Amino acid sequence: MVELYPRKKSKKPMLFLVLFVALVIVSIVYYLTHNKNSSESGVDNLETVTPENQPDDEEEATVNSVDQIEQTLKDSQDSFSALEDDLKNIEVYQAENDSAPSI
Amino acid sequence: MLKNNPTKIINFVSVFFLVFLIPVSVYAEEDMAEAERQAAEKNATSSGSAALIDISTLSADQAIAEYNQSGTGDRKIEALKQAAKKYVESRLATLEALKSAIEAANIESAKKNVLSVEVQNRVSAINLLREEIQNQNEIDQIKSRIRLIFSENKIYSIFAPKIRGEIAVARLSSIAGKIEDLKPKINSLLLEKKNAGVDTTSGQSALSGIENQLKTINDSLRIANDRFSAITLTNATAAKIYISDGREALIKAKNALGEINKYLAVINNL
Repeated sequence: MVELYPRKKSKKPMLFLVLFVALVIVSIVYYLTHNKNSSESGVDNLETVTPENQPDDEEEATVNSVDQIEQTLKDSQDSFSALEDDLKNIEVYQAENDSAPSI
Repeated sequence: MLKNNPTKIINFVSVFFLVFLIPVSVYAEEDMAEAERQAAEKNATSSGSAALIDISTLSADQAIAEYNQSGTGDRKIEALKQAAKKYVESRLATLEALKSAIEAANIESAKKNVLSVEVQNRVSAINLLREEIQNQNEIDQIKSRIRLIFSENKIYSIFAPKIRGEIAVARLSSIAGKIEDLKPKINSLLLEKKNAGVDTTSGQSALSGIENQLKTINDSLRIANDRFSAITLTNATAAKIYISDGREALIKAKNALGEINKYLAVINNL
């Protein structure tokens, strides 16, 4: 049977959907805005280099370089002495009699 | 005359003993002593003046001399075994010293392992010969094994110089790598000091000197490494040339390292 006066469809579900999408968009925008601000302020990001601590790092790098030069110099001097021993030993071994006896 | 007179009989017997038997026994003792002396003299003449010396106290050379002079087979064998024992002992002591040198060297552990295995193989080979000699009682067999201690191992003339050379190459290679790694850091340090107003001319010159000497070290290291690793115990003539060439290259590298130490000290004092 054909309805002469069909019922009007409710627009409420559509309204809810629109509200939900809007809420999601607002949340994303809020999240992005908040995160950007945090990064810029350096509050949340502990690894951010501040102008105040940059010279400290440079100073530390310099100290490390100086220590490393000193350590390498020491190692090099030790190697030099050990090398002298190696060369002396080679000479001493070669001077030893290594010929079979006449038997 | 003596019949019926016991006292006279006793007197007669006593006089007989005194006059005849005592001198005879004295002469007999002297004869025995003379015979013993002559026997000892004969023995000493046949086995040399060291015949009475305990062979186990002799050095290798003394034991060989004893072997050459000994008359009896047993003493000859004993002398040969003593000489072999001394040859083995001195070589094992050298190999132990090499082991300690490898262990103490500031080189890569992989290289340490390779060298330690080489030394251990020599120790095993010499110990095997020692055991064979001590269990052998044929003079010719003992002699041939004594010759092998020298001909197959060549501890002094080839093996020990080769191992020492390889330790030196590894040591130099390690320190050259450290100095190479240090170059950029020296550069940054000099730049920083220059920016801070320090005169870095001597430092720049030292850095340039380090670079030149490093090149000398690396070139010499290549030669030394080629020569020492090419040494084999089977070709003694070539081995001697390689040892000589390798040693010469090491001396050159050592001198370059000495120069680098002076340059590093300059930079260190800036």
